Amino acid sequence: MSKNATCASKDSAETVRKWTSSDEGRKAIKEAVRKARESSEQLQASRRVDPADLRRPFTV
Amino acid sequence: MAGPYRVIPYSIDGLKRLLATESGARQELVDSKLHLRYFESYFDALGAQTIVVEREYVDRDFLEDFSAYYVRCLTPYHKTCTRLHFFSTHFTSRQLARLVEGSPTRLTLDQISGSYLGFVVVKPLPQTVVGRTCLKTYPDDGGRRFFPATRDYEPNLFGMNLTVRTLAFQEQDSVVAACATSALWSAFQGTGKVFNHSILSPVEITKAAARDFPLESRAIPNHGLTMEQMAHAIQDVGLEPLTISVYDERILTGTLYAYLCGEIPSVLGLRLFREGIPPEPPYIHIGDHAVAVTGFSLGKPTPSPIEPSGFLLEASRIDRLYVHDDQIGPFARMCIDGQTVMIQNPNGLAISLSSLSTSWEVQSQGTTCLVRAVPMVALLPLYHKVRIPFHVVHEEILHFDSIIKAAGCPCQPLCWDIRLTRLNALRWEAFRDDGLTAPARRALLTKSMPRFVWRATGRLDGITLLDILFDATDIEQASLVVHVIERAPDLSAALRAIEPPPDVRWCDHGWRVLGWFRDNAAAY
Repeated sequence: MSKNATCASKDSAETVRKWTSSDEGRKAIKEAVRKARESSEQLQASRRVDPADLRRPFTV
Repeated sequence: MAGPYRVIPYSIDGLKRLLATESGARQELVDSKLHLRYFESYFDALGAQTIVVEREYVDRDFLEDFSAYYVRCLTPYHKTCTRLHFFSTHFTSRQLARLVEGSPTRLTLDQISGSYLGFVVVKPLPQTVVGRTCLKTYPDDGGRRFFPATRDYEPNLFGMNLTVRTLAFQEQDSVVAACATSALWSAFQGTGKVFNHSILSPVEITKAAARDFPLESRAIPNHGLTMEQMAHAIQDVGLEPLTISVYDERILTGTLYAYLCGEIPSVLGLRLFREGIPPEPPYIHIGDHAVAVTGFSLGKPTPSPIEPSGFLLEASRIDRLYVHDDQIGPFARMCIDGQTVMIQNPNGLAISLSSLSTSWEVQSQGTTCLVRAVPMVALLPLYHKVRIPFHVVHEEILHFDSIIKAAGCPCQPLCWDIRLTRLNALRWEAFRDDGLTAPARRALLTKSMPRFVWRATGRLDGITLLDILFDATDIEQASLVVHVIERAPDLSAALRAIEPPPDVRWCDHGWRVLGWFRDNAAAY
């Protein structure tokens, strides 16, 4: 890893540390998790198999 | 009397005549098959030039069907088949004869093996004549088409070892096998190699599927299987069935992609609808059909975000599925074109279902109607140790991605490629990867890891930044992450700098992955 890359890593890591320690940062993460949960719940409901579909004969 | 073989120049009319004469089926019946229309465009795409007709061929799958059913019919059906071999080079019967005899000829073994396109077994039956078919796949078209579940078949033609990389296909015979049996038979061709189980013949699959359902309908002659029955056949070869509802296009593409990349073909249950002819409703249900999913095309330029989180999955770029459809042919296209089918549910309410285009056509009132397919259920034959399903990893990565975006990490948004893989394949890829640093290689190649691994690759503009590896054999409440291949120091440092909220639970979705970064130093 080059020296510049190390410096860039330190800078962005420090920015992330400050942001995620702040109230706004925490709120942003909380909101992101809420949206992720919403996406996830939609998919979970769609993934559930209707038992009637398991007993439908494939005849064509 | 016909000799043991013939060589003829390829043409679709010649192929039609061969299918009729070698099977004994009526010519007009062969001509009307959708398979022939499909073969015409397929062999054009592959550049077929020559057919070698190998007579008195003993096909193991047909022999099983023959001994279980046809031998007891009064009509004296033949027990042997004819095998048609296809080549993309031109040669004559005389040239092949000289090559076989070891006499001097311009035709070489390299020309024969290099131009081999595969074979079609012709069954000696009155209607369903397309038997075991192993044909080369479509070209990859610059990395757009993928057929990850194919394997090598090695037919021997008069002493010459030939190879074709594909997945076997066959038409249902409507006696010992219906569409579901044929689809399952093709899927087993793939899983048999990957998981080392016995590959059942069509009649063996039908018997295994129907064994515990004596009241459903007669096993043989067979007119169709349910998903439940197919699941029994899967258990009969020692695998575990997994069913997933796939009415939602995002689930369809994500799931099929993840398992196909792990070389596992799935059986897809479809509801078929033909176009209505006014005053009929726009779509008429004509029945349910099963196919084996064997490939896909990543034809969409960009992935579609899953809202409201904006999660990007590589699999959402799929615009076509390639399926072994026993009524059409191998690697038949089904396009994800955004069209829906409006139908009425049992309560009389109109509902709109995502659908796929098909190559099917049906006749109604003298009109040719196109047919659309609504994907219903995917059935996956899995090795018992593949315990963690795709959706668990998907959910984990979806949350992780949302957290790191909100945390302001660099290199966002990542596009995620989630697939099942085997450790040996993963390590072999890493061993040849010049982009990995020595510590990263050492960590990945020497660490003890499970045989089956879920791999979630995060990419930005096509460049891989990290691979998160999950233990596919673990239990769901475990931490699951076994290793991370880190390729972007900037991103890795930022991930380790995320300050968790005071009330964080490290077992929550997304934080499980971040817990790995908390506990492990970077290896690059």
